[in-house]
Amino acid sequence: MVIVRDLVKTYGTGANALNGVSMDVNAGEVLVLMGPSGSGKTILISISILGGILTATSGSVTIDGREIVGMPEKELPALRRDLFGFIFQDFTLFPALTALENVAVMCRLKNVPHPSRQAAELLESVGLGAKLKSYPADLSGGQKQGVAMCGRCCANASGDFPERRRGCAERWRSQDSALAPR
Amino acid sequence: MNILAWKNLLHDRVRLGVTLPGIVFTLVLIAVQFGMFLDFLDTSANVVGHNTADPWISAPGIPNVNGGSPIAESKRRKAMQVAGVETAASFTLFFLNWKLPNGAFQSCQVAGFDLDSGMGAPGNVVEGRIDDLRGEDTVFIDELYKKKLGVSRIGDTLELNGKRVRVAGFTRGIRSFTTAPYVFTSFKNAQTYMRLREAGTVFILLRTKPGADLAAVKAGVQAAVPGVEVFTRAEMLKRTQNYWVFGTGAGTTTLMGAILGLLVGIVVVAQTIYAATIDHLKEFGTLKAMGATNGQIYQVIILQAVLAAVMGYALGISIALFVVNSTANTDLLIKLPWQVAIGIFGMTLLMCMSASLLSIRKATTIDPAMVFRG
Repeated sequence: MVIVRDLVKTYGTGANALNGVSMDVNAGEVLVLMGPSGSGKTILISISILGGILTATSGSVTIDGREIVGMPEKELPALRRDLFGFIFQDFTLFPALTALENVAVMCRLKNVPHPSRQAAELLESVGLGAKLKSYPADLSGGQKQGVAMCGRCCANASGDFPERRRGCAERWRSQDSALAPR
Repeated sequence: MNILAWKNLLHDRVRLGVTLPGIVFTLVLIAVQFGMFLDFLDTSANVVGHNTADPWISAPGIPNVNGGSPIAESKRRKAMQVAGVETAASFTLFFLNWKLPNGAFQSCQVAGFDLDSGMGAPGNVVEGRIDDLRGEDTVFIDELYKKKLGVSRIGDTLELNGKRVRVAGFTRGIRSFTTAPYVFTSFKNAQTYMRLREAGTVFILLRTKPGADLAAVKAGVQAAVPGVEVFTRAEMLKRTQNYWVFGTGAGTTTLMGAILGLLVGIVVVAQTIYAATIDHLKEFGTLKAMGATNGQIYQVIILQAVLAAVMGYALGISIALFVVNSTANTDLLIKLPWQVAIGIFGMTLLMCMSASLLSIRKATTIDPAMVFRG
């Protein structure tokens, strides 16, 4: 569960990006954040959901009971790695890596055993078994989305691997991967 | 994560085509410039450096080995009596005019050495025998300077300082850093060419007895032989190199060229590696958002720089060796000793890694909004 209270982000110039935002995100909940350009959506996500990539000026963000505002920098990467997964607008795959390597890199980040093998199984489970050696430039938008989702499945899902693979495939089929909570 | 570094470097052929040549030509520039400087350093004092004599006796206050003035040869006998001295031999080095077949004059440096002790004799004789220099008016020249001195074969007869001279042999690879080639002859012949008084020499070369203390021998000779200055071989070498390298425009220009080559190289490599890293900034942002630690991002960036350095070095040093080899038998030699080649490798690694470190801060403080906005 994510609890945000009175979150303020002020830039050095004195401009406020966030001015006392509060919200709760429950486990399993799908939340859509909408607002005009420049309203602070990205800043809010960067401080809270992205696990403290940006630091808040004041306020509180609690994730699964852990306060992350003021958390030492060295503890934040593990938080991002273990609790969150993202699929960006353009999927942000590594153009120099094949589909298999893209997923395997994410598996390695998570210290998953046999990352290449598990990456291959994940890609096969979403029907991209024939694209293991394809580069992002050779994939369609949907296929890129599939590769990006497999990377996040590998890197974030808890539980045993077959379960994770099934979950990944299901999300792929339902095409809601970008919003699916973990 | 290592695969990301490797493939980031190789995947974009256009970027690789910009990164590698930048490093390669930088290395060639540095290797050639320093090679020329090292050669200048070596050839400016090769008469001393390739001579086994130690210490040397000369007239007081000479600026370098090429600037000696006559001293009485009788001082040789006094030097012989000093404890620790095994042999003392006369040696001359003087600029004289060599008359070419067409009547023009070419300056040369005449080295007259003692045939019995062999101190000051040229090495690497490729035609003729050193003993042939016992003949009157005989000289050796280096085959590099045949054309310059108007010589084609052994037995050719020309004129040196107005006296007849006959070529008795050739050496290989004894180059002069000035426009005046070396001409080797016996000390006796040299006295004649230089029109020295019968009892004159320019240097007295000493060889110490095995186990003798060089400093003590030098001090003993200095005390026993009046009106001279005694130099160890290292001192004479340093004095000569300092004079030509730092006391003349030629040496300073070569050194400045080497230093500028290094500075230009550092800037080119820094820019190239920095640009290559910044090109992948968004990917590092993605890694960070996914939970990569700064250490893991450093690892990818530094490994990318190291791989570029190794590939650039392999190509660059190959081209530099080709250039070095192609000058081996020319008037202009570029030296690339293995120690320098290893030093250049270390410097390349350092340059590439330093440049990548400059971009690391940018990569690890990346604004995640950049990743979000695509």
